[in-house]
Amino acid sequence: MKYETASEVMELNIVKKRLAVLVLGIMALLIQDVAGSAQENKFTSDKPVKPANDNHPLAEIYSGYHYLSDEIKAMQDSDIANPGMAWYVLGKSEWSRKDGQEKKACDSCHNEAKASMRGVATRYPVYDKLQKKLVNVEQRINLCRTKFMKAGPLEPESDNLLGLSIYVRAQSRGLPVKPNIGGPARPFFEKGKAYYNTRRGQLDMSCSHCHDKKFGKKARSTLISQGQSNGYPVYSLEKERPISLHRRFIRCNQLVRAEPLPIGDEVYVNLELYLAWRGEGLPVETPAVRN
Amino acid sequence: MDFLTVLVFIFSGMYLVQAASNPELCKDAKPHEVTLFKLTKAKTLEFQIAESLDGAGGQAGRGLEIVIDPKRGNCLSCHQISSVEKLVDIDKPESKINYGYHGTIANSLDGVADKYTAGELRLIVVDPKRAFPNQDSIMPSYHRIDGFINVDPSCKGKSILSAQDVEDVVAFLLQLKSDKPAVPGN
Repeated sequence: MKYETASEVMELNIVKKRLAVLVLGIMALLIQDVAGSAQENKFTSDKPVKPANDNHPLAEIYSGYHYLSDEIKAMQDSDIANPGMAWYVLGKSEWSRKDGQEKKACDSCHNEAKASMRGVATRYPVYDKLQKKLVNVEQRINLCRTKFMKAGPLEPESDNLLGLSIYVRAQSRGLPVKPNIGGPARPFFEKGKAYYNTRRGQLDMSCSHCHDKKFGKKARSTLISQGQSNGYPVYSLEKERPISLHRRFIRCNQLVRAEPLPIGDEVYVNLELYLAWRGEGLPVETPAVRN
Repeated sequence: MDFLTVLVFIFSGMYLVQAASNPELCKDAKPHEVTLFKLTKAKTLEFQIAESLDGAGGQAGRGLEIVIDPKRGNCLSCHQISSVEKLVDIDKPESKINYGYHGTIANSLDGVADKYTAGELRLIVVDPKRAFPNQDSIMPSYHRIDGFINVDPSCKGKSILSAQDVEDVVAFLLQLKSDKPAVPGN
């Protein structure tokens, strides 16, 4: 079949995408052990969490879930309706896919993710002695691949990397976020905090201006959240695919007309640690569903 | 690899990531024209810019278009203006899209002309951080380019609004007096 115009090709691509979401959704439904056999998986709530210390910018901490419509909340609460679970399934197969010169997979060392990865998402990003900086889950996956599997790193934002990241993080669903900001992680935490509170871009706004002071208010028709990170990578209804936290940082930078950084940039990882601390106590909800 | 895994890989190919393209964030921004302003003593605020930026008066009609346009002034992103619905020419398709949603981030602009003079409104639009030095204002500075960090390369040398745009917006804001009837229920 020959397609004459760009719009015809685009329409075909949209049909393909929708079809793929449908097929993946059905597959998620078929696979019984998606996060146990339960179909309803409510790991978070509308209720706020009290900050653990007085030195916190927020009086009450709300997950992004709080700012969703009831329809989208219901979508996230059901592993069958949540389109992000298709990437969980992909990550699950990737977990045991042997690759690289060593012909190893993640499970060659870590066995069952259900046990070995439980709690990981609550403490990442962590300080890495060899890298001498913070490492997030996606970077840890690629460090494991290059160092122990002798395989190439997975592309940022690729389905395989997001799938694995979602699979690893989802093993902590419902557990409270509790990162370690002390010891060698401290200076990186401080840098992340400084980034968060610095005005930038042509619109000259900091993250704090919107997410500490204006959450619950509307920009046009969009409800502003507290900018919490506990659901990442999230399934983006707008993009019709999951996006990493760094992808979201890029979007925020663009909104204030600031120059975005590359995914995986050290500055973004520092910011990731600050956000984890800022949302301490919120349950991990990966893969959350967001607008 | 089992059958399902193979299927997942086949379909996942459809989601190949597109590299983050330069979205030309400042496509609609204007070359920055006026860098030095003469600040004089004001009434409600400490300072004002008493003189027109482009040496001419603004047009309220053009100002309205800028106020509602998400790519230019986008004032409605944060402010409510009750009378906009009445003022907008709803026969223009772009107006239909833009006038409806008013944000709740900042104060309503109803009656703003009673509160501030033209010179004060001009300073607020040009550089609200200068107008409200102690408020850590979230409002962008619409005709300023210095002192910003990490500005996207596509915005270099540009301000959000031109000098004439600022004058047009000020002319529009001066119409927002509280004795003008607001649209009921908005």
